[in-house]
Amino acid sequence: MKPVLEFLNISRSYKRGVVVLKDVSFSVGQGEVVALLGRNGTGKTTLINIALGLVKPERGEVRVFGMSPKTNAAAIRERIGYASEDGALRGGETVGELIAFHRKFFRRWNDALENELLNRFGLSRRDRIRRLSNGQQRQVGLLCAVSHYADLLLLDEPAAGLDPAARREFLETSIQLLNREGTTILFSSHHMTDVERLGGRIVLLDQGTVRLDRDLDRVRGEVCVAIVPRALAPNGDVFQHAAGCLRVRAAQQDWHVVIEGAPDDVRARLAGLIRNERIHCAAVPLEELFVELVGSERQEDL
Amino acid sequence: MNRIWAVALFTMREALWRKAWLPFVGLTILAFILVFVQFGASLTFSWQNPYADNIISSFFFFWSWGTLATGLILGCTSLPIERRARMMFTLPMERWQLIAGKLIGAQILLSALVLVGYGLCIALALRQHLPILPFSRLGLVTALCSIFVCLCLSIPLGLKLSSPAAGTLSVFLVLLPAFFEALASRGLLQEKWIVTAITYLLPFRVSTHPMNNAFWNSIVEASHYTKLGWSVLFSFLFFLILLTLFRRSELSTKS
Repeated sequence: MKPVLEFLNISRSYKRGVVVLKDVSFSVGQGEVVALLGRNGTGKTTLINIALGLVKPERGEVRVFGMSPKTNAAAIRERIGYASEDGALRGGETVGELIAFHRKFFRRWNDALENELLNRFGLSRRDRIRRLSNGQQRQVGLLCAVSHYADLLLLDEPAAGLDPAARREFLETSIQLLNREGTTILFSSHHMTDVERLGGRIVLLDQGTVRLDRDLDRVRGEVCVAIVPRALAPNGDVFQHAAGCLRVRAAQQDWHVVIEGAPDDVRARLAGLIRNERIHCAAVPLEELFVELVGSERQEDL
Repeated sequence: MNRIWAVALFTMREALWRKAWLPFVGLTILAFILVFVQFGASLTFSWQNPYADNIISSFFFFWSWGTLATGLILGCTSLPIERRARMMFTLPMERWQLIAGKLIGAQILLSALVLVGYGLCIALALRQHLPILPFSRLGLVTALCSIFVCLCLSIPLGLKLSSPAAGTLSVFLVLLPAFFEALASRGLLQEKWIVTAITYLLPFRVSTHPMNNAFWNSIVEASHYTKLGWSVLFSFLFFLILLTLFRRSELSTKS
């Protein structure tokens, strides 16, 4: 699959010495939907800003459509659509004015898509932006971001702050529609329900690095969590060396081991390591998996 | 050019929505009050008011300073707002196009405002049978140039600084030479070279005397226009230097 967006060994820290991204590498292929997951402050927004050329990486390189945002920012943005959780809509007082403002910046504009999205969202060109609900404002932002035949859509927490019904409606009527048109989508979120609904691939950022990068279907079927009583293995390091181990986390009286493989297979492997069969092993929902992969260690238990 | 013009039009429209003209309205109302207080009973709309030149000058003084204050607010807030919203910076245009659009939009709007004020003053002066002297035109040109200088300093500074910081620094850059000159003229600063050095380092100062007394019968000297020209040129150079420096700099969203 031809990569549309490539992050190559990206590192970035902020002035106060906080490292946000450490050697992050992954790519997004043509037509893919990739969810960028991670806790608050793990660099999701920074990574999207790097792709847009708004923030510079300290090390590494980013290539969008094979070009560098450092030198070809305007040409890249011609093919990118961007919408964010906190970005105010700038360019007009009404929906019509905002659309008219945006279309002045692009050589091509998809009138059919614009009208379809206006109808789907139940918006009128005469609606005043300030009087729209939070969800409707997101929809207008999305409409402006995609109607210029965007090849790549960068969405920074697109549905954050919306109630569950509005979130579902927003995602189903917009992102799924766009992906059917072949638009590549990279969206950041920490809502697993969004990710499960949209499918595609997940890239999980934790402490500045890519903790997990694989298709959602494979995550569901090939990663499980084993719970091992700490009495059986005083040192968790023994699991770190097991094949396919993604993380070992101390939680109360147990070790939680996130590991690749089917539950029965994992149980057998870990039992071999500690020579004990008392291991509970199960495939878990994505939200549980997220907590296991990026959740904090409980210091009082260590 | 279309993109710059789109930003300029948006800047003008938005300035009206954002009520950035409130300082202007406030100062204009204050102008009327002060004119009434100062001239009291003599303020009639009869022919040949003896204080007409004074009244019209005061009116233009407040009108132009109100516009200048509006310009400062517009200039120093325009880019911090865009930085917070980020949307404009993700559109396919170079950064200089955005900033140039902001400058052009604000300059057109504020120039129109000054021209309306000047037009009113001319109408009043004609009604009072006062001659329209060259000094009043110098007052108008000074007002227009002051706005340009103010916008050239405050708009690009807003790309890196918060609104209050950009506004304060712009005022500081313009007023610092005058402050040191005042100190030197009162004997509080003996080292004249400091004044000279600061005047060369910060050549943005505009002498506002013609703007403040536009309809009084003062004499226009050629040097007035020359000095204005230099101030405009230097502030535009400052604008270009900042534009070049910030061309590809990182965008801070803290504003």
